[in-house]
Amino acid sequence: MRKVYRPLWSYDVQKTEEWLAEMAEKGLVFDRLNRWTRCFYFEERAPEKRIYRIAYDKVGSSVLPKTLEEEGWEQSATAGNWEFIFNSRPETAIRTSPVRDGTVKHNRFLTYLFFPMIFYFGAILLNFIASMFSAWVLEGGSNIVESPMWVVTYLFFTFVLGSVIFGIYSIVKITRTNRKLEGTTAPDTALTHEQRDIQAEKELKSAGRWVTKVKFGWMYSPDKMEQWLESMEQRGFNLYRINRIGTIFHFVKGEPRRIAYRIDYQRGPTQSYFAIHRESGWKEKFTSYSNMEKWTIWSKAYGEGEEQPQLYSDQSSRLKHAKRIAITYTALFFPLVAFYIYFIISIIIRADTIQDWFIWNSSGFFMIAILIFGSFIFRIWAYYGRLRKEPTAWGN
Amino acid sequence: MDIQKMLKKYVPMTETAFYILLSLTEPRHGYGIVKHVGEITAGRLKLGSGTVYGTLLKMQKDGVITVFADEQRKTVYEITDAGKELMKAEIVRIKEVHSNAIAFEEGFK
Repeated sequence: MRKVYRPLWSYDVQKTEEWLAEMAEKGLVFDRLNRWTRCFYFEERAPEKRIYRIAYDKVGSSVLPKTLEEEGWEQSATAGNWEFIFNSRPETAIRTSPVRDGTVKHNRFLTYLFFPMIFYFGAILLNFIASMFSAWVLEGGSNIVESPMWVVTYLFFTFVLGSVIFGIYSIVKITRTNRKLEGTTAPDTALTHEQRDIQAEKELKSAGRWVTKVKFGWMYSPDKMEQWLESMEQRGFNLYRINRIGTIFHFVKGEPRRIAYRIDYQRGPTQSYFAIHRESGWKEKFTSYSNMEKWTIWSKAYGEGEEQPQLYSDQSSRLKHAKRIAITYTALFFPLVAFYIYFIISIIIRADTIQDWFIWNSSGFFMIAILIFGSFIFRIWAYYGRLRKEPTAWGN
Repeated sequence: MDIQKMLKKYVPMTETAFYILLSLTEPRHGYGIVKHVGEITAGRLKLGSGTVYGTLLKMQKDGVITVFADEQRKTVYEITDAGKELMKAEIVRIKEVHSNAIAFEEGFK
């Protein structure tokens, strides 16, 4: 048995897969992984040609799909949610492979953990540097007391600095791996923003056919937004592009069109989400930048006398989906509203007179915040209510 | 999810869930399922891609189906052994519904 330490093996699973294949060719066949010590254990055997795939699977069973088994894939080890799968057949004979979705999602989750860590430690670091600067440079070090305890401070500083550097390195590395894993099938959102024909846009503008509208917070009443976009098309304002953050809508005055717009929300969708909709004839007009809270505006043209195309074909799945959105956003905004209300109440209790209370300009700010976040919650539930009342025009 | 829990959760099935699983007699892509269901119901059932995607995701979580990637790295859905047991149970139920429908059809004429 041979033991090899590989601390950051999961940051680039493809590289680790290749490394395992090389080891097998050298007569070291992967046996198991200790996730906590980050050590790989190898069995010394006759050299073998093997292809490895590492998959992360939080859901479902750890049993391989039949199709993969028939193509020669075998499980060699599992460690936590990680599965190590290999195939001894020549590479050209293998057409299928385990999916990358689980790994991509896990990597995204890791970056969500690293971002707050960098911000938090970064703030500590800035604070530290600022106080060091004022003590040594501005005050010339005259106020500094000699003490062996300074070692602790410097150790802590090194730890914080190291964490920030490690966090940044991790994010860069993981993001690069995810881009490779998602490959060419990654959603081509660039279409709506970057592939702009500046010249054509200029001509449209000077011809007076360019119309720009601003819309905020449309995700809290998606059905109204869909109707608005559809009515714009019916009046001959063809949606041309939407800016990256989804607030500015550019239209071109042209022919009236029959186009269905559907706004959809998904938490961390993978390429299969975009694939199924695109193949069903939907085009993405907008997709939000964040993967965690992904909003997409889909559009599909339909002919005269044809039924309007739907993303959700039965009322129950549509309702269930709307309810999930409402609950998610309530969970997101309700703590904020509750916190601000608590804050205002504590100010009122402390104030002796009404005038006293109004002097606190911050309570005005909190009131506005309560109104805004409260309206989001109200609007999203109102949307759910409208959907529930809607007669079932389509099936089920 | 063990099979008893699965039966409790999925039987009786919605028409959407039933036809999605019925189309998995062979592994298919997401859109392949939409097309196949349209064909075997002679265009009566037009499944929305959002409904199909959501249902597949849930079924995958519950271990009714499993996934792999094809040559183009596209996701392909395959029914699991547990999923097959589930379909057998649902088909027994639907057969009973069917035979009763035929037996008592006369009474509604």
